[in-house]
Amino acid sequence: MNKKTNQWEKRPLVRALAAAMLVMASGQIFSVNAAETPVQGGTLNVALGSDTPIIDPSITGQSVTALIDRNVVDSLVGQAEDNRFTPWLASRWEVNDNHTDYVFHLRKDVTFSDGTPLDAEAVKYNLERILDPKTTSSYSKSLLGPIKTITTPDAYTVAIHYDSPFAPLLQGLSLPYLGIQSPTYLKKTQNTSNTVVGSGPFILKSFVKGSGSQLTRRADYHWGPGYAAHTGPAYLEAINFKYLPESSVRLGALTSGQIQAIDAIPPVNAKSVKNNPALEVKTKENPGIVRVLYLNTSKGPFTDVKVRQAFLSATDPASAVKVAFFGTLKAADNVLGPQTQYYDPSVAKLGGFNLDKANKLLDDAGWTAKNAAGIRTKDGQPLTVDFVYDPSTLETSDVTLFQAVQFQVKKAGIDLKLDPVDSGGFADRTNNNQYDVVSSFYVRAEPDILRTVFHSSYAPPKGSNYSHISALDDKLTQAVGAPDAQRKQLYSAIQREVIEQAYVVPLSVPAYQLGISKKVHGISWATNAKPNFYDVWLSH
Amino acid sequence: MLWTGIQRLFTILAVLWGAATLTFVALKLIPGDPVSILSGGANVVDDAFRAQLTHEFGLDQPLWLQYLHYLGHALIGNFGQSYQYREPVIAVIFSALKQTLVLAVGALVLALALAVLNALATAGRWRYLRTFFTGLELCLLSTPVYWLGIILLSLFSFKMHWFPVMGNEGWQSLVLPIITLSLPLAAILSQILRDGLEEALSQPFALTVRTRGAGETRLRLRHGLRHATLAASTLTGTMLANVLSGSILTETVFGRAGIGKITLQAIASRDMPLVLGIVMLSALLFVIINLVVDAAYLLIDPRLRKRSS
Repeated sequence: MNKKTNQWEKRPLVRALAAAMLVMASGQIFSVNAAETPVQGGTLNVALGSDTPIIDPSITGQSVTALIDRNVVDSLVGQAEDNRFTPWLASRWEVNDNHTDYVFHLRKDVTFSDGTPLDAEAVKYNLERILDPKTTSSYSKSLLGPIKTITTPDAYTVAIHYDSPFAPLLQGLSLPYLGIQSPTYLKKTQNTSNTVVGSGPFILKSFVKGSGSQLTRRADYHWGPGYAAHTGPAYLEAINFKYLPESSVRLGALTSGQIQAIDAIPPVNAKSVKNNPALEVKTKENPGIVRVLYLNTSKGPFTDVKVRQAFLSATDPASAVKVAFFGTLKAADNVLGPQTQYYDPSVAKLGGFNLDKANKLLDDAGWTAKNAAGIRTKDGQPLTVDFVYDPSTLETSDVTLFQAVQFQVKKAGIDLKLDPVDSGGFADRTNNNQYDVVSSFYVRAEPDILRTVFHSSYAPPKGSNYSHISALDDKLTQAVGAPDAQRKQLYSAIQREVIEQAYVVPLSVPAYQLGISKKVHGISWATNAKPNFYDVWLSH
Repeated sequence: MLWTGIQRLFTILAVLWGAATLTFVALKLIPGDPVSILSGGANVVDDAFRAQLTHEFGLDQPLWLQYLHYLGHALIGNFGQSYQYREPVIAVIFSALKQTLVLAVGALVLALALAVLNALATAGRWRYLRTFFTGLELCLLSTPVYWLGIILLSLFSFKMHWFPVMGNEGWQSLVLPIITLSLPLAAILSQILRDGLEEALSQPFALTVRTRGAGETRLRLRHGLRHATLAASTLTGTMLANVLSGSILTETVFGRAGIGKITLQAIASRDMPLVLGIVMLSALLFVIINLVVDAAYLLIDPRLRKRSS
């Protein structure tokens, strides 16, 4: 009896031990596998810090719309992280050397989620809808450029013709803003602001403004972009995007495991997320125009190139960015970010912080006297420049960055007056040329973005030529359609001139930051610095 | 009686007209070009786009015509299209109102329940408990709702995992926002109710009721509360209207799509039709709620009934 009891007592222990060892072993095997074999299924919950009023990518330039719709609409071509173009809805294409004729050969096996097959007519309908002024498309339309005709030589071939060369088309087409939607859906839908029907790996199940979007997988998807890591349907069963504007709430939801990914991690908290063993931070630097201060060359002190150069030299982006972003962002050394095509690294040495140089330039420019506050004056006027910005479009760290710059330039005797206004006020001030400095950044891998920022035909309210420059017009126009080697040269010259003339003061290279649970695998990046979810999978 | 009804109707119309006109004037006076603001996400506004939008929004018409158009349309309940959402204003407001209504009514009901319990329990007795509660009320009143929401979230969602932060659906996602919104309301209502109750209990009639042998609970529930409710009902009406149009802080913390957030965004982006729609709605709500409160007075206090007839 005694013996028996003993055995009974021992057995569970042995079993438990064995089981524990098995679990440990299998756990190990599993985790090794986990890194290699993606798991199907699961719902990814993502909390976003910003929202969009419109989900139709053709009629808005909101980046959140692009982020969500990337999963819902496919593009004619894909652009890999290294900026090369890959097949997607178009299996191949031809472009003439002049950049005036583009011919796309479409895949023949693609359907939209409402069953409509993708063909040349569908593509033509989408692009013509965007070009039609009644659609009130702004950003998408600008990506298409001055298209002359769109023709369909056969059912699966689309030909686009320009009268004047237009090279940025492929990059534009790769963005969700020119994603192809179901023509059947578009024709029967009066108001597309709340819905999208595309051929993407996910279907938009619901979109509620100010709340979020729910996406479910399309089981028959097998026409992913050429840059993707896998083919066939997406791994995730569903994706929920939830709008949580309050950063501490986003962070709490992530650390408590309720959600698996958040964007816009406040720089202050980036370290705590990194140090959390269950979490990691993924960062993708924005291509395009970095965060710059535009110096208004059309009025006030900044009409004088020496004063602009002095402002540039008095600014120390490296230390300002460090103060504001705690090392989560890099200081900018050029008007373009390093991820942009034709970014010229040699421009970096043209600028740079040099307080002595700044002081000398200001002396030369005649701003020699100083008032009681230590601000330089000329003919009794203080060297005060008005910096108009809209805090609702900024993170708190951006304002800290501006304050740091304010502090820095004051050492050279420049009074940078911070002037916060609301969006309406901002539009009013910029449209009526009542500012000396404004700030922004633009995400685009294609250097043609420079044209909308420095070409004279894009002075506000038509675009972002906040510096009011016309000196670059010829180069910018030429670069739109020139052969690739020449484009590279032209864009180098433009970057050089922007810094030499101090049209802008580059501050930081903005980046998209994603805080994710380590259970989330396979995040890759679109060239607009937004995460792709097609290859993403969740381990248990 | 009929005359009173007609008078009331005219007052309502006058209030609505006044609100609409003031908003129109204010929005036209503050600087800002809606077309520019709308294209904020994009960095290019081409001429065709501007012309099309200006025409669609009717901004190419003279001001007085815009005003008349707007008033005429508002009269038949057509507020036009929201600039930002490219959707009828009515649709935008109603989808937001659905979210806000649940929150506002839930919070107010909870606040009333808490306040009544609190006032009944602590009015004029149990000194220490009373002191504790009045102290707590002061704290809650002076706590920013924003902060209260984050504290509740950290505790009950992030730490204890009782209520999810995700999702606009299901009662679980409503619990914390309702509590957050209701606590300050409960605090202020408690104070008003307790004051009223304490005053009523010191009246001679209270003594009479006591001498007839009624217990303390009966006295408070049957007789005292009725007196205290009068002041509280006015306040509740105002509160409901306020909560409906101004729960923006709670909505921001909990990531809910409600009227408050839409209003803020509409004003910032000069979304004229939407702002006007919201103002009209708020004005209408205030008027209706005041009417209901007036009617409630008659129910609560029989003396008023005699006076008015």
